[in-house]
Amino acid sequence: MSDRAIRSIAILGGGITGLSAAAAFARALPQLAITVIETPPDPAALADRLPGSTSAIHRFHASIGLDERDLLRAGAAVPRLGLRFENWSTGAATWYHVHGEHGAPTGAVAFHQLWARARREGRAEAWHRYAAAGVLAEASKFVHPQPGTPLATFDYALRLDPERYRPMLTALVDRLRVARFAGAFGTIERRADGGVAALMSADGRRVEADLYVDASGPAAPLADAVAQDFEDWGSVLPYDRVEIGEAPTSAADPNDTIIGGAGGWQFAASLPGKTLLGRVHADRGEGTSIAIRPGRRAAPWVQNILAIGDAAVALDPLHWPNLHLAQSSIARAIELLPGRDCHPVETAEYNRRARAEAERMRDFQALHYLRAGAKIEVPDSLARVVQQFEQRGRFVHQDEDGLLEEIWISALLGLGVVPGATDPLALAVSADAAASRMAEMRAGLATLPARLPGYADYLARCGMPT
Amino acid sequence: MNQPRKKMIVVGGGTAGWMAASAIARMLPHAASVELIESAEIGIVGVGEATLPHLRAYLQTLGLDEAEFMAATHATYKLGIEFRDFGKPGDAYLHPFGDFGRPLNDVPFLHWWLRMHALGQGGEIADYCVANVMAAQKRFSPPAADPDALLSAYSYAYQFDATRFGPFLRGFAEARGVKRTEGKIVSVERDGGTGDVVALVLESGTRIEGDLFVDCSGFRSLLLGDALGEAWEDWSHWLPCDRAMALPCASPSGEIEPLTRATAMPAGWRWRIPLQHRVGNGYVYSSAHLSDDAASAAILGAIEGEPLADPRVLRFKAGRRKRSWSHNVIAVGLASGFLEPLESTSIYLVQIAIQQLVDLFPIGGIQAADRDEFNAQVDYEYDRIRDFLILHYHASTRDDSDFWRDVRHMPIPDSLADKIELFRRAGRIQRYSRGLFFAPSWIAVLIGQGVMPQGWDQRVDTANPHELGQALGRLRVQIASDVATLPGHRVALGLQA
Ligand SMILES: Cc1cc2nc3c(=O)[nH]c(=O)nc-3n(C[C@H](O)[C@H](O)[C@H](O)COP(=O)(O)OP(=O)(O)OC[C@H]3O[C@@H](n4cnc5c(N)ncnc54)[C@H](O)[C@@H]3O)c2cc1C
Repeated sequence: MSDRAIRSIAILGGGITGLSAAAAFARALPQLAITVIETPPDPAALADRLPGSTSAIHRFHASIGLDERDLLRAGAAVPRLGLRFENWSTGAATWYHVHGEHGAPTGAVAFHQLWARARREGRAEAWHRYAAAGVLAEASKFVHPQPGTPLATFDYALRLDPERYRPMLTALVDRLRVARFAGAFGTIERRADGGVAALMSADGRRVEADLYVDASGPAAPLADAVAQDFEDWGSVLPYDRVEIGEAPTSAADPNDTIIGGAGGWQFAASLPGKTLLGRVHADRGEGTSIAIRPGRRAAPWVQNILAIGDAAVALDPLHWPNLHLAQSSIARAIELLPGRDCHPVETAEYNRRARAEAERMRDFQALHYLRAGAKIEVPDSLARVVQQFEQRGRFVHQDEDGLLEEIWISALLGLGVVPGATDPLALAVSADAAASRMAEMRAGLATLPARLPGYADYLARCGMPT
Repeated sequence: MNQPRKKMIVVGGGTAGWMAASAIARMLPHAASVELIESAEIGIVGVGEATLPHLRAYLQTLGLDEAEFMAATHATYKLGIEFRDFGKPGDAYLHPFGDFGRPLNDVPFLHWWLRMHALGQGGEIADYCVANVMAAQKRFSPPAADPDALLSAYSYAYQFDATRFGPFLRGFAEARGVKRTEGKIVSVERDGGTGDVVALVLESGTRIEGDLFVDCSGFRSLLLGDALGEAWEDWSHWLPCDRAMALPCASPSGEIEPLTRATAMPAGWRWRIPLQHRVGNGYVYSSAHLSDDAASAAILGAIEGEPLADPRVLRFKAGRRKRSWSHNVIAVGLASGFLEPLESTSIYLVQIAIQQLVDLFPIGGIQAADRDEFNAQVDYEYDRIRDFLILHYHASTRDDSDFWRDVRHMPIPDSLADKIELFRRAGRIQRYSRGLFFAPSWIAVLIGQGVMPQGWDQRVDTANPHELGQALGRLRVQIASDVATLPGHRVALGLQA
């Protein structure tokens, strides 16, 4: 496509999102000239500020050539097994949301079907206790997955320290010969067709590129200069205020803690030398906290302007969707990079996928709020998921769901959406046979933690600073 | 669970009826009893010989033995469908059950090939498809189990005698408690309040009650169409073929090709499906463009062996019932809709409906939500197949008959127009996770019918063309030589070479 290929990209935003985009584009397309305009950090850019990620981060890191061991040694990241939910809804016990296999199917019958029946009969322990990761999470243990052992079937995420992670990205983009300078958005020059011809920083520097990426946070002045259409999800996601703070270090924990409460929730995530704390709630006019406006830019890619990160989708931090969606959008942009003319048929495919992915994530968060008793509007797509699962334990697959089925099912069951009846298919396995298989599984999993080091010990062995 | 077992009545003993009865009896024995009603007087369509690889999963789920199945139905292996003369007269390409090459550095193989192709190198994309090379050499062997092996990147289906598949399944179903009743249904009783079907009355006067009725009555659509009056969505403006002239003939001597062939004809197209003991043929045509007599003459002139019967005409319309599941009636097979057999999709649609029925089998009473889910899934499947079929007619430069001029220029659904344009720009395939036909299928037909992308993924631009050319050359040679070690199709079938 050389004659119509994109030759240069200008990225507005010097936070983690902007630098991640620069690194990914530079690695995948070394022929591009890339310039990053490092805008002052926007406190409301949650993708840049929060420590959370999902297990999809490993793939992104591999694509930009960032080695997890280097991150660990620098104290820029620590492995995270799961989320510990406390007090999420009235009467619910503490539960762990972990990534990885839970139980094992019996022929064509999914494990959660057998579990649900046993649960109704009072013969099943908590869902996470049938997963290696859940057992480790509850015992505060950690090891990396070990292929060929019972510890092969789980996944983990990373908890990032933004203050240490960002400089590592900076060093990386410098090695990849990305140009960068500090500046703020000034104005744009438009082309006759409405696209952007040039971007001027506040101090008058002019940047011309074939493609402009707005990674500057929710204010998104560049993307906003071209199109303002916004889908507001305020009726679905009830919280629009976030406070972020720090506490001196506490005991290292492989899980983030999520504590529910009336009118909002809190989180704690331990990092080397500190613990990040946060509070998420609805606006009560307190003023000091960060305001977020849940929703998404209706078309994140318009002409030659692409919005990513908080500039494209704004969600509260439950399950850490912010950086996850930013990284996913970067990978999608590379995969679908259009020609220089950014033909609408090409950007439409990007936008279609971006929308579906963001909506799935919105639904996933909304499920948690619904179960906590918040008065929200339930999107049809979520209502179908809940109805089918609640009735018979069937999981409804939808296009572009970045969350694996097991991640949804862990949340559904953890949140107490237990199928009310046994799926007819599962009747083929007798309740007693299922219960004895489950007891056997539990016995095997229960022996795991005793053989493994504590989380802090394990990190020390990986060369983590303390 | 103390749910009473549902009494499920399957209406029809064609491929759809026996597939549904067997699957329910095997998978939901605790949830349902099954009774199947068929009428020897009415009979079955008896065509439908080419399948998709998904049928293997059906056999496996039921625990049916492949060798027994193949022997009973005189089946052959199928690696794809060869389309002749579709893009333009003289063209031929295979739509294979397999990938083209392998992704390199996360970039789909297509893009590496496109770059070399633009330089006039790299050969044909088909050279990188194991299934394609095997089909060309008339060889067959099941895919290697090791996913890293070159000879693992394909799948296969069967071509079989459609009149023998039902009877083969019947033995299986009856052994699992399916009750078979011979008789012709003459009336359908419905509940005055709910409108649900409560019973069927046979010509003999026997009345058969049930909780759930699976309508596999073929084109008649006895319950869903006739009794419930479910609306028909007509697609003949996109797919104008409405007849088929079927004619089996004796096999020519020599090796059996492991493929179904579709050859464009002046008023439609013609199938050729080689079985172990004969070859199935048929001319699918538009009655507005061709008379039955002319179709009969054309198929007689085209076959390669002794005709084994008189040409037989089958009439149909492209389209489907708006909903396949209405009240307590679930239509499976031709009773729910029809798309011409250009991509051998009918039995696949039967299978999908059965699978959805198993997944959504009523617990207690029928839930509207379950029914809606079922219908939504069926819609996905139909819509995607429909677009894919239209592509074969739209992406053509044929100008040699009224039929081809009409179908080439007919307006197409927007959903298809976008897919084609997206591919034309830079070789991208719209992604979806549900429904049939993923990237390799679209690539095969689009490129096969002359829609060549103008660009490609920029990530391949940095590759050194000389090195890339050499790497592609090595891959081609490797595939050709690996395939050359495989047995011929007849040997693979255990027949005399
Ligand atoms: C020309 C043509 C080519 C095809 N090619 C292929 C192909 O290559 N691949 C593919 O997958 N599919 C193909 N199909 C489709 C395929 O043949 C059907 O999907 C498949 O055979 C299933 O048919 P069925 O069971 O729904 O209907 P049928 O075979 O018509 O069976 C209907 C049944 O209902 C019974 N019945 C009807 N009315 C009554 C009544 N009043 N009382 C009692 N019983 C009754 C009949 O006796 C019969 O048993 C093709 C179809 C056509 C027309």
